Amino acid sequence: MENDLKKKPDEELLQRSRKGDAGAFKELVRRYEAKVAATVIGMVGRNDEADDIGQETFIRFYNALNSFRGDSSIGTYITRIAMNLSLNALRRRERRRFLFKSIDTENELQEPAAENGAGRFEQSEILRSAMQRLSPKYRAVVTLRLAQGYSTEETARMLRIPVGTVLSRLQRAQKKLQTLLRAYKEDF
Amino acid sequence: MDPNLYNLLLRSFDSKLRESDQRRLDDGLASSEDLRRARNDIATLRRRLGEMKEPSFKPFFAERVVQRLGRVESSLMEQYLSVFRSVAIGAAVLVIICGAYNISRDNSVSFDSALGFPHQTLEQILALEPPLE
Repeated sequence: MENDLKKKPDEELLQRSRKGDAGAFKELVRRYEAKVAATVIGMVGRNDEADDIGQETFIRFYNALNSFRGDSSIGTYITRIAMNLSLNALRRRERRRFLFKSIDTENELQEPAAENGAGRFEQSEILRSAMQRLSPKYRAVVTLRLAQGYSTEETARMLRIPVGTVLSRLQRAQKKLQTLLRAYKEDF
Repeated sequence: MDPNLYNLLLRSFDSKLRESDQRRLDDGLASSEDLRRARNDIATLRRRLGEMKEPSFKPFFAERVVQRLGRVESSLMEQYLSVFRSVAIGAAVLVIICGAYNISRDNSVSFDSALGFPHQTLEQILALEPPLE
């Protein structure tokens, strides 16, 4: 049964999900899980909150199934939900940080976690860690444009900002990333 | 390194530059070793970002989503039921109060008086005669 669903096109899975077919919706979740993970983990980091936001993204998508008209692709639509939820979570985090400043500042300055016992950091982890040091608005454009490969126009549409703003944020984000990554010059 | 040229260089990766800007950048790249190095660094950074290992959620993510969806739906159903229950109880109490009021006004205990029907025969209604007291 699950193997059958794997071969079905998105459109059919959507129709079946609208009729309450949990299996069809589960297959859609499997198909777009990686995309959502890339957005959410890119934005909030790898933690339990990311998993929660990922789940919430698909629940929002499920609730919007009937109003989803297919003006954009499912991937773009879900990524937009994931990005909005991630930005909301970061705003909440910012408010918490304001209340418990000393604790969070300590966390922010942590070095990236070592990938293995030998203490050698994997490049992806270093990059991800550097991205976490960018402010959310810069992190959002880097995640969408550079990590996920959306065009500048798509990135602008998803974030509801002008293309010019995307370009200037990308410029600043790349400068900041290069500064942050200077410590790992051999790898980058 | 000229910061304006560096900004042009960064921008050139994401948008098409105006002809004059492109020419300035090309000239800068031809003459500046630093700018060429910066171009390579940016290109490497962007390539590495694009090639980043795809992150993933914890195992059985899809199952957890469907499970949570089930919980959300059943809690929604419970909310509907609880709203329906309170509205139904309120309506029943209102009907009983109205019935009791009608009976007390009519001084007779019958279904008709509880519902507030006038004691008239069909003939009286059709003849439009004043009702009997």
